Formats: sequence, structure tokens, C-alpha cells
Amino acid sequence: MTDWQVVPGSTADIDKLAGRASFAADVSVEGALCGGVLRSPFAHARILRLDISRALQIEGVQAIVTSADLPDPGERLVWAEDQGLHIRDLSTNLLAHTKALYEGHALVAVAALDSDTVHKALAAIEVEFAVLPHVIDVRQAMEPEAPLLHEQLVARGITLPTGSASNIASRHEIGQGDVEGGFADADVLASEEFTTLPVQQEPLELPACLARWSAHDRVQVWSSAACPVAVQEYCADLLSLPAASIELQPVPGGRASDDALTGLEPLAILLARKSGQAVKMQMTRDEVFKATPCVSGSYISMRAGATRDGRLLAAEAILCYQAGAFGGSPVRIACQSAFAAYSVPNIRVIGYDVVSNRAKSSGSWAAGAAIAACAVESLFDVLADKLDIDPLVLRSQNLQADPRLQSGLPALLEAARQHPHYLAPLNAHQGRGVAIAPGVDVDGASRKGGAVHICDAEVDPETGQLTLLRYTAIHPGAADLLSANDRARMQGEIARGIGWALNEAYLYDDEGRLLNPNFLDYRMPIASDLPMIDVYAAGTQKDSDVDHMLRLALVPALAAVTNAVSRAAGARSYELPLTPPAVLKLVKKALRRRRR
Amino acid sequence: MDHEIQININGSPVTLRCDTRETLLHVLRERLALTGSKDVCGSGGCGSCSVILDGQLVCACLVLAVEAHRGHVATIEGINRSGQLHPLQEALAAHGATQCGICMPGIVMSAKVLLDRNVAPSEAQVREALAGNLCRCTGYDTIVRAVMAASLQL
Repeated sequence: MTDWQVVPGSTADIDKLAGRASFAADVSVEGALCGGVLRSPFAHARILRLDISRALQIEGVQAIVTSADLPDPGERLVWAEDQGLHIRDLSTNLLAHTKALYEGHALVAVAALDSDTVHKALAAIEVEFAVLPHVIDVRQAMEPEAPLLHEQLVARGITLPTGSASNIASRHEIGQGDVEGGFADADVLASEEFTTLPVQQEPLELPACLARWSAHDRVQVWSSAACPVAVQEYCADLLSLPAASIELQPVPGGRASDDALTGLEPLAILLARKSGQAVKMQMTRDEVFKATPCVSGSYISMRAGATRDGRLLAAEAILCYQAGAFGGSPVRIACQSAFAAYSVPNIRVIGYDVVSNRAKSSGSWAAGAAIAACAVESLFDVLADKLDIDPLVLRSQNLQADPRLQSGLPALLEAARQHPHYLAPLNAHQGRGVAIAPGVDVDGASRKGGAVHICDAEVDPETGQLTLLRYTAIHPGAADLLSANDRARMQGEIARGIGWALNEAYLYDDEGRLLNPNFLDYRMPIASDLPMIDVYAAGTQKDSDVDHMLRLALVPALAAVTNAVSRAAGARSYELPLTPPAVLKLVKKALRRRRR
Repeated sequence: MDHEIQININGSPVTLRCDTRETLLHVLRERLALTGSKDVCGSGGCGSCSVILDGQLVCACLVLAVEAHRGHVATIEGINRSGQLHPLQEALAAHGATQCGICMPGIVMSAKVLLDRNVAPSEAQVREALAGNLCRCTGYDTIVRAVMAASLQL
């Protein structure tokens, strides 16, 4: 543990700790109605008939809204973190129009005097579906004969015969040099495939909101979403309201992520307008899992070629990201960040943004970059083993030559090599993984500080049970640059990466229905799963972009854990999550290899 | 079906009528406006609604209100009624552990039950005691450090 700062807590923190701080779900106003949402039970289905007349007759039901209550959204792109989102997609996601595109897709919203009446009304809504074939796996979704989510979707970035619809929303390509020539000159090749499953990375708080129209056509909104401007723009765009008429009220508790656009606020605003009363809504955990943005699953095929002395000559990567029901996965920035730390003279990176029958993915750039880093840093470890070069040295000698593109990584790698963690001995069944994050910023082009992470893991060869022994995150900056709060946030990002690597995954049945929409079956890390996470600042910079550093802490975590577990098990992992059965398979693979 | 129940909540006797299906959490939050206990999963999976019922740490979402009839319940609101912060709360704030704060009332209750029984817990004991409380913001590091620091203040 280094230079731990302890400072008196803020009043806001004290209020949260004393249970006094109101979160959105704790806000109440006199006479507020209770809102609820009817959602699709099917992964993919045409809506043949939707009849709300029986529900409307139930005593206490005050308003019901369907997609017919939404204004025509028009044709334009709207704000999003990574890439433009089509307003029509957002509208279709808010309330299904003609098709339900995933289990949990909202169909109808109801406001009533109490929650029992809401449930009665939801049960009284008659919906006739024609169930359609569905597709969730990203590779299957790219097949020519895959069920189409959007019959009109023609990929951006690909030249195809007119009218060729597919599930590919967009294609991105970056590259330079002569890739095949580079591979021909290489002494050593590594070629691997990697898959990751979709995961939930949002904060714990259940999305909640309360909407109340006042005189002068203004609506007050209390929301659990952290970014009021995003919610305001999103509601204004979807409901054709002036942004200024949507007044986000301060809520002291909570810190949801920027793109946690859950659909709750626009529905509450519509219900409140139609009923003429305030409406409060809160999602259940089941709804959060099925219907709110999650991190994309992925399939990545990657190869790299190097000289005998460990100089990278060529690399090629194909990144396929599962966007969910609408395009907008962070695959573009993943293409830009994948090899950004390294100098590769001949390179081609292709990314596909692929729609599938699950909730729309979030656009978080850090999550997108973490998936790519996991594949790239795994490949570097494969090469390091083949070349018998220290993994940190192999990374050092392939960094970008231009100091402006280095993100401080030469100094960070040197600090890692000298860190007591890296020098500590390991016992049997233990392994050490390292990984770096390029300092790519959200725009994909500019560079900020990078990061180097070191992780130690121990495998129980009988059961595949894993123990993380030690974790060190080396980030640039002066020792006093980060506050206790900043460090805690970085540790939180790293812990999310650890959970993603080891346990977490959305699992589906044959009908495309989520099998584990609760915390007992979707296993996030608990306190007894994790070691202390040492956040170590190397350097003297006092002007580092702390916010960028906090978010970047996630990026190398998947790779550091994967590399540690692969070394501890004695065989390389190509699939996340690394659950005990998966680890046991690796251990047995290593044993078979040794027996030969 | 309607029942009349009596519960001692944070030292004050409360009598109210409730439905058989109503959870203790619902009574605390919706009937008594004690919103410090948080509704985060509704299935005992996260510990954010942890309260102490007759000396036992429980998830209020898993206890029916009628089960708490004639019982003593301590909630987060009762921890610092005197106006003084509990050393746990001071330590959690000072270590930067609060963050979004949704899990914190539950963490304080779990850690309090631990420290009431064990004044000098090891790191492993603290982690074990908090294993029923999910936190997504911190990775638990600062929370564990804070609980251990608070134990030295007791």
C-alpha cells in the first residue's frame, strides 16, 4: 500500500452514509401515480395485435401509452458517446412499433393509483405475437442466412448490391503498409480467436424517476441518471419537446453512468402528461438485466507476425461487436485503440457493429477498448512465450517511436519491471499476467496517459477455483495527483474488469430468453473474491487528465486477469468468463500437453 | 389480508396495519418514509436493505412485515440518532469509499454487526462479513480498509 490519503469526508458522503441522502427512488410527491411497463416475453416477434381497451377500464388506471403516442422522430443522428445514434432507433427502442426485438423490449406503459393496479392493468393488455426466429450470438448474426432484425438495415462502410440487408450496422477499417508482405517476412506467427460475452457494468442503483408537469408546459423530472443534460436531450429528441421545458431536478444520491438511457424518463413524462398527475417509475432488477444497456459481447480473430528478436512486423484483427437490437457498439474506438500503443509497420484492423436480439449495448469507449486490449495483450503473451522474451520487454520494444504517441508507456513499463510485485516469486499453480492500455481518448485519435497492470492468480488444479492474489495498477502522475475518491473509483473499474473476466456473463436459453436476470445467478465480485488493489502512480506529472485515467483503469484489467489465469493454469484461455469449469478445462489441457 | 403489527423501530414502538404480502422493506420505505434502507434487487442478492432484526443481520426485502411483529428493528436511521457519526461512517467517508452511495447504508449495518461481535477483525474476517453486500463502485478495497480503521477507534 502506498501513500494512502485519508481526508475528512464531504457532507454529501456523510448524508449517504447516514441514509439521509435521497436517491431518485426515495423522492416522493403528494398524489404521484405508480408507473409500470409491459415488456416482450419473446426475443423476436411481430406484434399482430395490441389491445389496451380492457386495461383502460380497470378502476384506478389513469393513463396508458403505446408507440402510437410517440411523435414521428424524423430521420437524424443524435448525440452519443462513441458514434451517432439514429433517432428512429431510439424511438423504436423506447416502445416497440411493429416488432419486439429482444426479451424485455417495452411495448406499453401504464400509470395507475398503486402498484397492484398497475400489475392488474399490465395483465389485462392483450398482445398477439407471431414469434420469429432470433439470433443472439454475434458470429451467427453475421451469417447471410441469419434472421434479420431490421429488414431495411444496410451496413454503413460496406459496398453491397442495392437492397442487401444484413445484421451488420456498420463496418470500420483502419490500416497501413503491406500486411501480407509483413507476414511473409515474419519469423514467428501467432493467430488466435477470442470471445467475450455481454456483461452488465452499470452502477447498482435501480433506475428510477418521477415526472410532474407544472403550469406553462414545463415538466419537472427527478432521475437516477447522472448526466442531466443527456437525459434532457434524449427526452426532448424523442418526445419533440423543447429541451428547456424539461427541468431536471437535483437528486443528491447516485452516480449512474452517462449512457444509462433506460427509457424510463420519457415514459414517465408521457404518462404524466396523459394522466395530468405526477408519475413515479422504478425498474426491477429483472428489467435492468433484460432491457437496459449492457456491454457488448464479442468475437475477435487476430494474428500477428514478429521477427526472431521480437519486433512486430504485421498484425491483422477482425473485431465483431454485438451491438444488441440497434447499432452503436463501441467497435469503432476499439479498432482505433487495439494496437495504438504499438508500432506495427503493416497492419489492418476491421470492425463490425452487429445487431442481435438482445437489449441495445452501451457505447462506453473504455469497455470497447478493454475487449480489444484483452485480445491484443493475450496475443502479445503468446508471442512472448514463443520467442522466450519477458512479456514486459516484448511490449517495451514494440512501443510507438513517436513520443507524442507513447502515452508515457516507456516509463510505466520500466516502473512495472522494477515494482516489487513484478519481482516477487511465484509458487506452483500461480501465474502472473501483465497488460497495458494505450492512452487513446474518447475521440480515438488524441493521446493521454496509458496504464500498465500486473495481476497474480492461483488455480486450484482439482476444482478450477481461482484466487486472485495480488493486483497492481500503474498509472502516470505524481503520487498526490489522485484523491482517495479517485483511487476508489479506479479500484472499482478494475473490480468490474475482474468480474467481467472471471464470473459475469449474460446467459440465454434456446428461445433467446435471459437465464440469469438477478444477482444470485449473475455473479458479480463480492468482497471475499478480491485482493487489495494497489493503485500506484508512477511519475511526476501534475497535469494528467484524472477523469480519463479513472475510466482507463478498466481497459487493461480483462487482459491482465486473462494472462495471469492462463499462466497459472498452464494453458491459454481464449474465452471469457474464466469460471471454475473453464479454468479446470485449461488445467487439464496443460496436463495432457505435459503427458505427451 | 390485513394484519395489525407492532414493531419497535430504532427504539420507538410503531403500530400499523399491513398486508400479508408486504415486506419489512416496503413498510420501512413506503409506510414509514425510512428510505435509508435501499431497494436494489428485491431478492436478497445485494444487501443494500440490510437491517438488524432482533440482533440478526437480515435483508429487509426477504422478511415479511408480519414476521417482524413484536420484534426490534434497527435501521441505518437509528445508527446516529444522537447526532454523533458512528466511527464506521467517519472512516468510510474518509477513505473515499462512499462513491454513488447506494450500497453504503447496508455496508454500515453489516460492518456494525461485525464490529459489535469482533472488535479486532482481520482483513479476511471483514471481507467475509461483507460478502453479502454488493458494491459496484469501489472494488471493496477502501471499504475493507475503512472498517479495519474504524475497529481501531472503538
